[in-house]
Amino acid sequence: MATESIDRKCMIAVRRGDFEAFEQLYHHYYRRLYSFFYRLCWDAEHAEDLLQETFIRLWKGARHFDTKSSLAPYLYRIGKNAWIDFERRRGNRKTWDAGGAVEGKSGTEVLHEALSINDPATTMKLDKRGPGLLGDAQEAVAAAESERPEEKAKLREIEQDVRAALWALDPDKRLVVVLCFYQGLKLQEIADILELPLGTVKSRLFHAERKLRESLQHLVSEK
Amino acid sequence: MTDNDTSKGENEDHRTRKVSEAGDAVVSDAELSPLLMVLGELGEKEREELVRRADGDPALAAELRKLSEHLKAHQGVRKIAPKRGSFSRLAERMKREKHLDAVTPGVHSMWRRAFVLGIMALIACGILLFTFLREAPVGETNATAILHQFGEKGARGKSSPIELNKRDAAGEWGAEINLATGQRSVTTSVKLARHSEFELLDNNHLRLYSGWANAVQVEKEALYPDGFIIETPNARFVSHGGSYSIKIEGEVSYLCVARGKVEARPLLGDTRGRIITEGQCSSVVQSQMAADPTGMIAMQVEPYGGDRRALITITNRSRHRLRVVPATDATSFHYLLSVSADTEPGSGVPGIAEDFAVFPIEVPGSGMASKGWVTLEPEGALGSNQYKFVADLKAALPGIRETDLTIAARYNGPVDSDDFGELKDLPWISPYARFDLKTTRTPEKPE
Repeated sequence: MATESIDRKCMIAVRRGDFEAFEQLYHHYYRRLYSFFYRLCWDAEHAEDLLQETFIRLWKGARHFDTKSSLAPYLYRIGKNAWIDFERRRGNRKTWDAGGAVEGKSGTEVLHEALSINDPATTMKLDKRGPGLLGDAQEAVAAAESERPEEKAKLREIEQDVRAALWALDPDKRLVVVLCFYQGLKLQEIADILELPLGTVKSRLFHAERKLRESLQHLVSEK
Repeated sequence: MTDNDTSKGENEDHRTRKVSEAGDAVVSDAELSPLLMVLGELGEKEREELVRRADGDPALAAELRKLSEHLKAHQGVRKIAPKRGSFSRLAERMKREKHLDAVTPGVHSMWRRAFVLGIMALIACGILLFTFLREAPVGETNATAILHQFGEKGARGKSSPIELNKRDAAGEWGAEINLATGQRSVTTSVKLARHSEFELLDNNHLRLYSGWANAVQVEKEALYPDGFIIETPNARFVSHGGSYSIKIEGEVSYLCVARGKVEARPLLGDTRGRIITEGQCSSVVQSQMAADPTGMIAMQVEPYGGDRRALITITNRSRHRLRVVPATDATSFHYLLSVSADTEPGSGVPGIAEDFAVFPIEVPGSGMASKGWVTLEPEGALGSNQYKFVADLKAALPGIRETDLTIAARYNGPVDSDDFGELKDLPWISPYARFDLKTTRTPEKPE
């Protein structure tokens, strides 16, 4: 609530052309949004472009923002539209194949770029919501930061598999999965952002999860 | 449940159909609930219910386990963040793409501050310029005082700016002075007869040393706080709008007003002013107050060869050549007899009871020309300044009781002038004259 209040104050200032308030908003949201874009397009450069595009659109459209509403869903909606435009420009061309090659870079290089630290959104929801069945999720994250080299390599393999599985999803389903699994948003919030009925979001998520689980069957079985 | 199942269902709600239209297979609540539980989207009661069910249903328990394992696989994906300095890169891009040039975010760059200030300054300049042009003090527009010397037959000759406080003169064919008034598109013009000498003291102040300003035109819109002033050696004439002329003859300054009003007063002595209105003339002699005004045209009616006939005379009293419509023009009745009902002579100016058209029976000296204009030369000039005709009263006053009558002659037609154009609707009327129509009971036959 306090965050929303600060966001509102910042947006009012941004509407007046206050660039410092804009910077404050940027620092509040940039990691989350960067992660969002990265999981959608799996390219650091494109993710940063989309991040910039989102904040430029926020700046330009600041006077249209209703200060009574929350900023986060508004930002995600801008981000989603920016990504859709980006995909249209790209002609929905998949630049990353299952082997991990991305436009001249090897899959490993891309992965190394991607695997920097402090992605706050990753599994954040699982930390909060899975007290019974997902109780060890937090431990898994903590372990990832202090793992041994062989475990690190194994995690990277997992990541590569997850990335391939996500990339194989339809864009609309991938969007729902990223917002839900990686951004930790509630289904209703996702429905609001995507401007879809809640049932559609649930349905997409259900089918996406099924397909992902099939793709990652070996990882699920190993566990 | 499949797409086909959904499309076949008759009782599906709107939401279900929408989901179906979106291209996603519809999922039942029972199928969804394990996923919702893992995601923490279920309420406490629903979660407990599901856990209880999972205890007795190995398939459900296995599904929950698989879901949990699957989500853990996603947890294995490491966190990610942009490279350092991402905001600096964003700021640079915004600067490069000129997103920061606008006064407020998203406002088109044409409204950037400098542009807006420039536009405002331009508007302010426009207002100032407009105000200046409309209401500039008269003294500052001297550069627009121009003297046009006439050539033969009124053609314009040389034009030159007039130097202030310098005596100058009109040429052989006269001249015209045009003066700015401080009001756009409004000028004051002064026509000068040949060899008239003048000096311009200001744009609203002319000194006439000799000659004749035969047509002075001052517009009412002219911004003259003190009026337009013409000074002669002995008089001062001020107008706030009108057409008039001023002529200097020796020690007398003649004024003739065709339109508007002019105040006349001597420069010395009895400096009381007198207002001369349109259709009137006056004069200022030496240092005396301006003379009583007289009409530019004087009318007179008098008995002619007995009371049954009247001689009507129209006289030009101005310094201008005038033209009037002849009385014999049968197309219109410009000459009238105003007959008073007052039968007691000597009781003052009687009220007019009735007007009758005049029928001339004789025009001494000029025949019975019935069309065009009759020219009345200026007073004191060669040629006649009068037009006379005889009217038969008995014929002109049908039905009037034969008694003593007080009659005045009126002219309500136009008066044309070279200097002022056509003057209309001015009151030209003669003094009243007494006619005794009782003396002759038998009407005479017209001659």
